[in-house]
Amino acid sequence: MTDLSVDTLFDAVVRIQLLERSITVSFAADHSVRIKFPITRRLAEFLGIPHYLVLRNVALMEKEDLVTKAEREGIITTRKGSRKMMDLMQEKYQRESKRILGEAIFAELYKRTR
Amino acid sequence: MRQADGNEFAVPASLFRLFRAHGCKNSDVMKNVYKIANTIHMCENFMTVLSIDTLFDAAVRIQLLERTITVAFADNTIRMKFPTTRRLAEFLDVPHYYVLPYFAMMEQEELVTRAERVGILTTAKGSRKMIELMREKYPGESNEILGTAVFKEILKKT
Repeated sequence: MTDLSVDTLFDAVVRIQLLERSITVSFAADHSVRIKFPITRRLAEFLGIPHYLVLRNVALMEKEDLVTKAEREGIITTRKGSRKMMDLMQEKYQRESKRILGEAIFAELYKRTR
Repeated sequence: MRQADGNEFAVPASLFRLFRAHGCKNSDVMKNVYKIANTIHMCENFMTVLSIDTLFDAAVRIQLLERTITVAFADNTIRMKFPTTRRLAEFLDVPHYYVLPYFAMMEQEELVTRAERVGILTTAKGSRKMIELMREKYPGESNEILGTAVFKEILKKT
């Protein structure tokens, strides 16, 4: 069984997005951006772990103010979570992320999450 | 009788006879005829208000009102999130069932796609239509939410 941590979960989220070649971003007027998480069942399936383990960690991430759950929207990152995700993309998956978002959008998202 | 839209129509004499046979006065007949005519007129207004363009416009206005625009980026394409059908019905003040056939039409015209747990997203053609609408009618508000760089880039991508 995969040893699960918040970092592992964030990494899985980015890898799922890159694998599915789609990154969904919500832009808000306060200049913030929020990045959509895959559904928890998809995360569990991707990591090969029971669903309840993912739920427990998502609850932990909510407590750490990294994600929020919105009705009909699913799980989305907070300001802090968006920053963490963009850092991860910048450090580990820059080339693949830029291919999906494009150079300009990637740069803008990175800037907005500082 | 003058209708709400200004057109005149004659109330058939047979209607007065029918109501009088049931003990109604002429004024009661007219009161009810007015009510029916108004209802028909309101329904006709409903019928003419909705169109694919109206729904796209409402979708943009809801996003601007809620100050959030959601975009799904994929290799070289973008898809924009549509509000839920219930939210659109509520916003346009029409019954929910009235909005649904227009979504079937939009799907047929390849403007939107629907996916379980994902919701309604525009296709490449739909994104072009939505972003054009933003550029033509709501450039200031769209710019404010997306930011100049993102708005410009999205325009370029569509």
